[in-house]
Amino acid sequence: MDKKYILKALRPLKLKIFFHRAIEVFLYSLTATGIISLVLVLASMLYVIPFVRHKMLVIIGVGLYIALNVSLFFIPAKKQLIMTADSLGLKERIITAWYLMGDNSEVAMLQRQDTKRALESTNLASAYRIRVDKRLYITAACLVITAFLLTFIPGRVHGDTVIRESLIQKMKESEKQIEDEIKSQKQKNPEISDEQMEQLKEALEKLKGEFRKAKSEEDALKALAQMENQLDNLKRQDPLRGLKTLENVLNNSQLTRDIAEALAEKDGESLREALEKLAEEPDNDEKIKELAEMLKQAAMNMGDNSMLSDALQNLAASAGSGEISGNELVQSLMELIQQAEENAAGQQDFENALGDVGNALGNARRSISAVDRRVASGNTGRMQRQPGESGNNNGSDEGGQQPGNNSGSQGGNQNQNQAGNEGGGMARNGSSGNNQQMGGESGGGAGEGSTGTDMGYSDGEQSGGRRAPGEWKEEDYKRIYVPEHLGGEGNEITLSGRVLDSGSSTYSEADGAPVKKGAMVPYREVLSEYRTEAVQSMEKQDIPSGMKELVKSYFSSLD
Amino acid sequence: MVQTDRESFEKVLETVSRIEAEVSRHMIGQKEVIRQVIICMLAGGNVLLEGMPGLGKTRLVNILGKVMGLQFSRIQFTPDLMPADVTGTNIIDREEGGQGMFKFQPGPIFSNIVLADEINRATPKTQSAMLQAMQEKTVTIANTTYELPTPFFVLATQNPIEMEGTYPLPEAQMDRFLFKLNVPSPGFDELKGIINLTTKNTEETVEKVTNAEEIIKIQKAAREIPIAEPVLDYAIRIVMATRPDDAASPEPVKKYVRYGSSPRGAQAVISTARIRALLCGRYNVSFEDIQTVAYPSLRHRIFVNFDAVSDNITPDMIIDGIIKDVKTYQ
Repeated sequence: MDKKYILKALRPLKLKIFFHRAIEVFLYSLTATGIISLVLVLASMLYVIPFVRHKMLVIIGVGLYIALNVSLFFIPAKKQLIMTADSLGLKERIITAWYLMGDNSEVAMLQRQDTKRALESTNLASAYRIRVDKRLYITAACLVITAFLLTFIPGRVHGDTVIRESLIQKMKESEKQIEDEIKSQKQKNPEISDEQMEQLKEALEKLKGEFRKAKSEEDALKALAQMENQLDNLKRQDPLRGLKTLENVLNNSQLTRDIAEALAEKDGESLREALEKLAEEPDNDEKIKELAEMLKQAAMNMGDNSMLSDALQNLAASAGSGEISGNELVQSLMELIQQAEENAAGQQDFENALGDVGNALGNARRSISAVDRRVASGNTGRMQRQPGESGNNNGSDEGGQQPGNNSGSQGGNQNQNQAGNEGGGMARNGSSGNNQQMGGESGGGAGEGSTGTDMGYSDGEQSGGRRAPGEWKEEDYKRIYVPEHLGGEGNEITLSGRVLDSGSSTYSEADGAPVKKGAMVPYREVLSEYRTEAVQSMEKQDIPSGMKELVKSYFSSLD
Repeated sequence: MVQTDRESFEKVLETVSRIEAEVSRHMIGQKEVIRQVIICMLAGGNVLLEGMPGLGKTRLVNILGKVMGLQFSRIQFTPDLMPADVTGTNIIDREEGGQGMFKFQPGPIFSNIVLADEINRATPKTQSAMLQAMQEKTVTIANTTYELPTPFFVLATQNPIEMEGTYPLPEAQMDRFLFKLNVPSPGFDELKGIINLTTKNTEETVEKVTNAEEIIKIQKAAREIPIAEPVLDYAIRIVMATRPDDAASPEPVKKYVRYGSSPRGAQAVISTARIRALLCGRYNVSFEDIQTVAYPSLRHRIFVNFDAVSDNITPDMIIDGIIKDVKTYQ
C-alpha cells in the first residue's frame, strides 16, 4: 500500500467533501444574492426598475455561477482529506500509514495492512454525512422567497415600471422586426450593393445603441426618428446624381474632360482608358492640385453627406497635402467611381429597401407610441395597432381618452386633433396665440401630456397630411427632438384665509416644472423659428456687422 | 535493538485481549477501571486507585495477579508501619554451629504485584520507602541494593474520606504513579451481579492467561507501536496546556492550576496510549487514545489552587477544558 493507493481509496470521500462544500458555498451565495435581490425589489418599489423578477433571476443565476467557480477552490487538500477520513472511524490509521511510508519495520507493515483492511471495510463516502447548518438554508430560502413575493406587491412607481417594461418589450420587438426587414432586403432587392447593406446595418446598430440608452418612450421615438433621418439621408444620396455632379466638374477642365465624357456616356471601358491615360501623365504638382481642387468642388457641389462626397473630400485633402502621388490619386478615383457606379446600379433596389425599412420603422413608432395607452387601459393585447391604421382614428382616440388634458387646451388644438393631423405634439396646452398659430402650421397637437404627445408621433406619417400649405413637403423635413419649456405661464392660485387671525393673503404658485415632455417637430419649423429669433435678437443688440453676417451665413448654410 | 516480529505482535494483541476478557469475567462492572489498570501495568507503571472501601480494589489486584501469573502481595498501610516492614530487613541468622550472621529477609515489596492498601495512612517515612522501589525497581538496605522481581507493579489505594490521621502523598511521590484511577461505586445492575457472584458457594477458577515473560514481551512490543507526528504533537500540546504559565493554555488552567504536569506526564500519556491502541487491536495511536489516557495520566499531576478548591473545580474538569480547547491538528 502506497500513497497513491490511499488517495485512490479516498477519492469518493473527496468528491463528497467537495460536494458538501459546494452546497455550503451555494447557500452562502444564495443568501448574498437573496439580500441583493431583496434590496433590488425594495428599490423597485421606489424607483422605476423594469423586469425586476427577471433581474432577480439573473442575479441569482450569476451568484450561483460564481459559487460554482468558487467551490472549485474548495476541493479538499490531502491533509484535510486524510484528517476527515481518520475522523470517520479509521482512528488515525491513514495519517500514521502516511507518515510510515518508507518504513519497512514489522510493525509499520502491520500498520499498513491494518489500514488497508480498514479502508476496504469502511465506506467512507457513505460514512461522511453532509450536514448543513439549517439556519443557513432557511435564511437563504426566506430571503429569496420574500424578495420574489415582494415583486407582486405594487410599489409607488408600479405604473411607470409597467410602462417601461412594455416599452422595452416593444423596443426589442421593433428592433427584431427592423433587423429582419434589413436582413431580408438582400433577397428582396438583389441589386442592392454590399456597401448599401452595410449602411443599413450601420443605421440599425445605431438604433440599437439608442434603444439601449432609451429611458422613456420619447427616447425610443427619438431613436427611431434619428434612424428615419439617417434613412432619409441615404435616400438622398443618389450616386447617379453624385456622378453627374462629378462629371460636370470634371468637364470644366481639359485635363479631365475625357473622364467626364466617359462618365457621361457611362462607358466603363472609356472611363478606364481615360483614367489610365491620366495616370500615365508624369507627376506634376500643378496637375495634382488642379485635380484635387476639382474633386473638392465636386464634393461640395454634391451638397449632401454621401459616401461619395466624403470620399472625394478625403481624396482631395490627401492629394492637396501631398500625402498621395498623382498615380495613387487617379487609382483611388477610379475605385471610387467604380464603387459609385455599382451603388448606382443598385440604387433602385436600395430605395425599395429604404422604403421597406422605413415602413418597419413606422410600425415600430406606432407600436412604441401606443405603449402608454395600452398600459393605461390595461389591455395591451387588443390595443396593439396595425401598420397603416388611420391617423384620424388615432386622433379621435386621443381626444376621447384624454378629455381632461384636451379640455385645458384651446379650441384650435381640439380641431386639429379631429383633423387627424400629425402635429408632432407641438401644440402647447394652456397657451393661446402663438400656440394656435404654431398648431396650425404643424398640423395641430394632440393636447398636453405624454399621451397626447405620443399621438403626435404615432399619427405622423400615417395621417399623411400636414395642414400647412406651401412648398414644404414631408420628405424635406428632418425630425428632431425639441424639449418644450414651461414656465412663466402657470396659473395664479389665490387662497383666501387668515394669517394670525387677521387679513387675507394671496399666494402665487411658482413657475412649473422646467421642462415638459418634448415633441417631434419638422426641421424647417424649428429652423425658421430659430432664424427668426436670431434675426430679432441681432436687431435688438449691438452686434458687429461681421458677426451678423456670420450668423446669417450659418442659417443660410442650414437651408 | 531487536524488533518484535509479526507473529509476536499478533500474539501480543491476542494476549492483551485475553487478559482483559478474563479479568472482566471475574469482576462485575468497573470495565473502564479494569482496562486502565491493565494499560498501566502493561506500560510498566504504578497505579494509584482512589475510591471508597469495598469497591473491589483488592479483588481486582488479586485477580490480575492470577490472570497474569504473577506473584502478588498486599501491604496494609497503617501509621505505625515502618519502612522495614515494607522493604524487608537484615536479621541475624544463627547457623547450627552457633555462629550468627545477618541475612536479608525480603519484605512484601519483593513481589511482582504489590497492593499498597490505604497508602496515605502510613507515615511519610514509610511512604518514601516506596519511592525507590516504584521508580528504580530496586531496594537498598544496609548499603546493599536488591533488584525487585520483574515485572514489578505497585497498586496503591487511598480512601478519599476519613482524612484524619492520614498523610497525603507528596507531589514527588504522586508523580511516580503512572495512573491515578478513580474507582466509582457500582450501579444497581453491577451491585446485583456482585452479590450473585460473591455470596454463593461457587468456586472461582481464574485462568492464568500469561506469565511474567510474556508481560515483558508485551511491554517491549508496545513501545514499538508507531505514533504519527500530528498525534504526538497533539499529546504534547495537551500536556503543555496543563501548565498555567504556557501561552497556549486555556483560561481555566491559568485561573485554577498551581502547577501543571511534569515531563513524566507526557511520557505517561504516550506510553499508555500505545497500550490502549494495542488493546483496541490497532497498530497506531489515535487522538482518542490520547484523550482517554490523558485523564488518569494527568489528573494527579495537575495541582489546583485554592480558587479551584473553593469553586469545586477538579483536575478532571481542567482536563476536560484542555481537551476541548486543544485542536487535534494545527
